[in-house]
Amino acid sequence: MTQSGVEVEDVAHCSKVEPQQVSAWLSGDAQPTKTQFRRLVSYLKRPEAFFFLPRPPAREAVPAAFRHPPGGMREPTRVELEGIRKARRVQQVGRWVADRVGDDRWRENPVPAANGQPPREAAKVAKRWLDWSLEDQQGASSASAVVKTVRSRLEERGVLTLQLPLGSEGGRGFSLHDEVKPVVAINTYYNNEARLFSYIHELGHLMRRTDALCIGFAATQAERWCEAFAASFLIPIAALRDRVAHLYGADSEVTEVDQLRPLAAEFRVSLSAMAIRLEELELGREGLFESIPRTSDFKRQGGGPGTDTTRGAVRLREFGEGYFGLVLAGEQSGALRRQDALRYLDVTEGQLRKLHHENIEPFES
Amino acid sequence: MDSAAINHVASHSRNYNEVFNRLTDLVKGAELTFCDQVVAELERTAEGEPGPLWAATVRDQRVDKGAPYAAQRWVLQNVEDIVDEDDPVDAAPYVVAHAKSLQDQGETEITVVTEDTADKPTRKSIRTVCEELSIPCLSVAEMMRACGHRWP
Repeated sequence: MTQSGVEVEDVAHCSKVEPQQVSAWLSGDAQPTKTQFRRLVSYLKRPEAFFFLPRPPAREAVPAAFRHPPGGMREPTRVELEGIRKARRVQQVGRWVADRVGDDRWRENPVPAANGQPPREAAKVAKRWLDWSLEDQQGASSASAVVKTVRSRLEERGVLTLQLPLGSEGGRGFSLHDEVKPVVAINTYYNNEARLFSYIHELGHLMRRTDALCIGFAATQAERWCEAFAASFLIPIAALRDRVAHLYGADSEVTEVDQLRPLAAEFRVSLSAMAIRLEELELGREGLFESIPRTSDFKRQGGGPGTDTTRGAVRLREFGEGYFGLVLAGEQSGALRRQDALRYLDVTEGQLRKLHHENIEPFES
Repeated sequence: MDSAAINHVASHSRNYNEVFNRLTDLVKGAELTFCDQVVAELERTAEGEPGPLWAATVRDQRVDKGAPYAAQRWVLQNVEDIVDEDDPVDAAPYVVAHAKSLQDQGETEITVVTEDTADKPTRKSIRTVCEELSIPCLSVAEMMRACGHRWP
């Protein structure tokens, strides 16, 4: 219950019993009926066998820092906790396979540690590491294409990248530092511009070598550092000054949301990120960020045309080609059996065959 | 028999229809069985494939359909690392419990047919656990040869 972020009352509600009854289950004075047990299993999303273990699992499903966030930040939602648990599993499997197939990409070439650097300097280092230039943003056909590029560059460097539905109340993303297989996860409730910023923000956390659950904007010093880092990375000062001067005249200040749009579109970032950057550099009026509707960073609802919603395609979008390639390499090397690969990718045999046809290749060291 | 073994028959035999027909005879003769959780796992991991189709076809002809609650509970309480905590359909603990209960009933020759032979990141293999519990195991190939059939 703790790992799933639920209280006695929640379990009582899902099991259709009184809270006192759940307390009796917890103390061992009573046991659920079969029907109540099935409801409980379905609600907590654990295998039935899990409930018969002699003791709770030794390994925490969620890092302690996430359950008790610093700086007055809220505690994670139930959907976030499920996402974090999924990401930890991907990391556990990824690390295990990486050790067996010789995937040392991150171990041999991790993003350099921030080591107290100011965000702007760290951003320069990270751009070199990621082989990133402004052209990657401005020359791309769409924000979606830029997100694909950044995701692919991170995966090439050994980072596991997840895109998970963490909900409208969920944070923008989180990162799980690791010596072998770090993970960054992005909330798919947000649009591509916001996701791009979040990927770089989470890269900032990896440079700080910490786990982080990122809820909204800048609630702690670490969050502020990562916001500034991502802004420096994606919206360099000189380039932004040039564009503001070009569009609105030298020494102009951006005052209206409509003036933000062409700038945000050009740098492939969200309106919120651009407003914060403009305010920070005193190129935008104070309060510009507050004038942007909160929903402006949300994705339009419903899949786009041609969006493949089969389980295999959904899992590939969620887990990323990096994880798929790693698990397939594990199978190819004999470290994992076929059945295990299917289990860890959460796809069926037929779905995996279809993905093979779409050129999802095993990782090669 | 576990789900990995059933899938292995489908993917590795020269003529899986023929092999499944032989397995069906063994099921009817109460010489071969699989637990209900194996059927559920097959449906989740190999939907529409020959393995789950065969299992669904013969499931009602099984004489023994799984371990009683007490045997399941014993395995879950006493065997370390047999439960994959995040896999809702993993049948591994139930396969072991099924074999253990049949063995404890005094059946003389209980053997688990499994292709779950390698330990993995999230739990031990069925073969490892069976070895710990002194339950004999065979791969599909070993079982087929032991039954006097050619493989693959």
